[in-house]
Amino acid sequence: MEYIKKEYAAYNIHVIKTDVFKTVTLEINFLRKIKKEEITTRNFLSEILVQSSKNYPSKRLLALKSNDLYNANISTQNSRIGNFSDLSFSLQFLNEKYTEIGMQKKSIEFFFDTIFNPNVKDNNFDLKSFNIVKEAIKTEIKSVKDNMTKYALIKMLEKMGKDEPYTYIGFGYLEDLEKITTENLYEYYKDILRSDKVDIFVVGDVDVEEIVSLVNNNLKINTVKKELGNPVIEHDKIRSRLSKVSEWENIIQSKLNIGCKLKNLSEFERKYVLLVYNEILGGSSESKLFKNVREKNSLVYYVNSALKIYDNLLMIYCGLNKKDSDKALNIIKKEMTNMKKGNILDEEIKVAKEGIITSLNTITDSPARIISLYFSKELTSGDDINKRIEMVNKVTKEDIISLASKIKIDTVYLMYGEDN
Amino acid sequence: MEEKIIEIANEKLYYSKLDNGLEVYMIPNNNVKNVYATFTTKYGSIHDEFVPINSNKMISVPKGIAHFLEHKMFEQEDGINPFEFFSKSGTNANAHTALKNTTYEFMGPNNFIENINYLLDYVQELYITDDSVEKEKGIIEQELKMYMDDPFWSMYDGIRNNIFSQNPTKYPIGGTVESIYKITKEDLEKCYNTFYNPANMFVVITGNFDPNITLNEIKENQEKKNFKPMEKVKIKEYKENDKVVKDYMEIEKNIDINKFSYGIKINLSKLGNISEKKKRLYISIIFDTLFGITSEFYEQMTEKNYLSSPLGIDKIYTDTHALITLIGETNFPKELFAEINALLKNLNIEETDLERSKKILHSINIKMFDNIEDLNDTIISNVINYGTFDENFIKLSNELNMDELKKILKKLDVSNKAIFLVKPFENNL
Repeated sequence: MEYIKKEYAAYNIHVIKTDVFKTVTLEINFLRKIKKEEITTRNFLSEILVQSSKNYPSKRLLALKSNDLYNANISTQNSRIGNFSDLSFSLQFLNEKYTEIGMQKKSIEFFFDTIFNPNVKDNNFDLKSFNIVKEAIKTEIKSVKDNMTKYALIKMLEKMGKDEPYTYIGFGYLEDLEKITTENLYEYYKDILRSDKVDIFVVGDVDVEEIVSLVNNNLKINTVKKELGNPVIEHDKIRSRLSKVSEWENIIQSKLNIGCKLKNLSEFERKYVLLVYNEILGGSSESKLFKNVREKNSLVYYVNSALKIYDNLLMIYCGLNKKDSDKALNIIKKEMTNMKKGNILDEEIKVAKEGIITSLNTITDSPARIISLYFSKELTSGDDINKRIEMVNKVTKEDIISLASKIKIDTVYLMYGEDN
Repeated sequence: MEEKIIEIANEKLYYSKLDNGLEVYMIPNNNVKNVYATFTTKYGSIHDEFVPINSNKMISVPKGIAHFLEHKMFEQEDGINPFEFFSKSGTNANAHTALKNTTYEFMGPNNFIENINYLLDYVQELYITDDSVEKEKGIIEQELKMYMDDPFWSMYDGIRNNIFSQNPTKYPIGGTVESIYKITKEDLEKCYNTFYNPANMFVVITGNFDPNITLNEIKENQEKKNFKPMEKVKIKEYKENDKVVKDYMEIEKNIDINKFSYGIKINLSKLGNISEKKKRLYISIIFDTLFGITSEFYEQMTEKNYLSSPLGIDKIYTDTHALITLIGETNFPKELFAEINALLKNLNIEETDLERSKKILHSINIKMFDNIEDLNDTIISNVINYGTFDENFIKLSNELNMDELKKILKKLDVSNKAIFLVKPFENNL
C-alpha cells in the first residue's frame, strides 16, 4: 500500500494505491464548522445532487447511466465529526480489468459531472427534483422513531447540553425544511464550493498520475481554503450531581441510557486509554457490562458502552423491562466504580488491547476504513496504524484508573413503556 | 480435495466432502489480513416438525427453538465460553439463526488453526442444564421485545404470517415470548442431536489462510470424533395452497409515517422446468426492473408524491413458493396499492432491461470478492438454497436470455397478493 498526498490551494487529493481490491473507490468530502440551522440544508443538498443532474435530469436516468457503467455506484452521506459537519459523496466501480477499457475515465467523469453539473436553471434547482427530495427528507425526519434504540440515545443527548453540537439531530428539523427554497439551496451549494475544506480520496489499483490528472480536470473548485481548527468538543461545565430523566413512549421494551462527560483528558488518554477503558467496560461480549447485566442477571439482550471521541462523551445503553431498570442501573454504576477502584484483571486489559489491535491491523482490508483512517489523519494529524498499535500497547492499569475518575455520569435517561 | 478456477474473477474454489459427510468450501484471498470462517447446520426456524434421530415418530417442538439452541451453544462445560476463547486472540465470534440455517462464525487474523479447531469443537458439543436453559429465557425475551418495537421487523413477520398457510416460514424466526418459555432441555437436546450431525453441516472459509493445511486440520479434528452415520433428516412436508391467508391487514405502532409491505405469492412449479437458480435470477430481474430505481413506475410514483424513496424488494423462497415483497413508506397507501395492482396486470420486460441486469449481476459477483464476509454469505446461501456452490456461478448470468425470460413472464401468476400496513397510532397524528 502506497500513500500519496497532493496538496493544492483549493483541495487535497489523497491516493492510496493498493492491489488488494477488485474495485476502485473514490470519495470527496466537504467539511465546515457545524451549524444547527444548516443541517437540514446540507442533507437536502446532498440528496438533490444525487437525485438528478443537468445531463441526467431524473433519479431514474442517473441510475440507468450508473448501471450502464457496470453498476458504478454513487452514494452520499452527511455526518458530524465533533464540531465539524462532513458532507461526502462516494463512487465505487469495478477496476476496468474486470469490465472494459475506458470505464475508469467514464465512471470518474460521471461522478464529478453529477456533483458539479447540477440540475439548475436561472440560479434555481429544478423544482421537480426539489419537491421529491423535500418529501424524502420530511419522511426521514419523521422516521426518527423507527429505531427506538437510536431514538432514545438522541433524546438522552438532547438532555445533556443546550446548544452543543452533540445535541443536534442528524436527520434535520421540519421547521428548517420549510425555509429551504430552490434558490437559497443553490446559494448554499455555491457557498460550499467556495468555503468548505475539500479532500478527495482514491483507493485501488490505479495509476497515480492518471488518477490525479483525472481528478484535477474534473474538479471545479478553485478558491483558497482556510484552516478549520480543532474538531474536538471540550466541556466547560460538568454537573456535580447527575440528572435523572424518565419519559414515556408507547413501546414494548424500555430503554435505559447513561450519558457520561469526559473532562481534561490528555491526547493520549482520549485517543488510547479511553479505547481500552471502553472495551473493558462495555465494548464487547467479554466486557464487564455484558457479563454482569446480561449473563449473570438475564436482564437484557444488549448492553453496550460506546465512545464519541470527538465529543468527549461515553454512552451506555441497554433495553429491558421497566421494572428491572433500577437493578440494571445499580449494576452498571457498580461496574464503573470497579473501573475507578482498579478492580480490573490483567487478563481483561490484555483481551481488550488484543481486540483493539486486531481491529487496527485489519483496517487495510476495507476501502472505507482506509479512507476514514487517512481522513482522521488529515483532520487531527492522527497517528498511523503502527503508531496507534504501539500507543495502545503502552496503556497501563494505572492509566485506566486515572482516566476512570475523569468520566462523570451526566444524565441517566429512561424511556419507558408498559411491562407485560 | 477438488480445486476449481472461478473464471472472470480469477479466484480458486477448494471443495471437499469428508467421510462423516461434512462439506468444506474454501476460497482463499491472501491479499487481505483477515480470515472469516463459518460453520453452518442446515437447520433453521422452519424445521420444527421432524423425525428425531433414533426414532421413527414425527414430533413437533415449540417455535423459536433453533434460535434458542444457538444461544445455548455459547455455554460450555469447562466454563470458558466461546466469546472468551476467541477474544483472547482478538477474534470476533458470532452466530445467527435464519429460516433454513443456523450459522456460527469467527473472524480474525490471528490464531487461525486453533480457532478453526475450536469452532468445530464447541459447535459439536452441547452442554446445557435445566438452570442454564431457564436463565436464557429472560435474555431471549428481551431480544424478541427489541424486535417487536421495530416497525419493519413487525412487517416482515406480519406479511409472512398472512401469505403462508401451512409452511412454517409463516412464523417468527425467534418464536414468541410465550413459545420460548415452553422450551425444555429435552427439546433442545432432541433438535441438537438430529440436526447438528456433520452430514447435515458445512464449513465455509474465506480470507487469508492455506487451504491444504486447513483441510488437514479439519479432517484430523473430525476423525477424532464419533458421529452416528445419518440419513437425510425427515422433515414434515406441507401442502401449501397458492392462495394467501389474509389479503389485507393493518396494525398501529409508535411511528409517524405509514410503512407497508406488498407481498406476492408465486408458485414456482408453474414456471416451467428450468433450474431453480435461473428461475430465481429471472424473478429478481423481473421485479427489480418493474419496481426498482430504474423503473418508470418508480419515477411516476415519486412525481405523484406516493413515494419519496426507492422500494425495497425482498425475496423469500420455500420449496414450493416464492414470496416477493415490496417494502416502503407512503402517505398515500390506497392510491399506491392501486398503481401496483395496475402494473402487475401488464408485465413487460425489454431486451435492454435484461442486458442491463446482466451487467449489474456481473458487477455484484466480482465486487463480492473484495469483501470476505459477502463472499462467505453468498456461498452459504447457495448451499442452503441449491444444495451446493460451484465455480460456474458467475457464468450463469451470461446464460440468461430473452426467450427464457419471456416464457417465465407468460407463466408468472401474480394474482395472489397480501398487504400488511403499519400505521401511526391514532393519537400520534
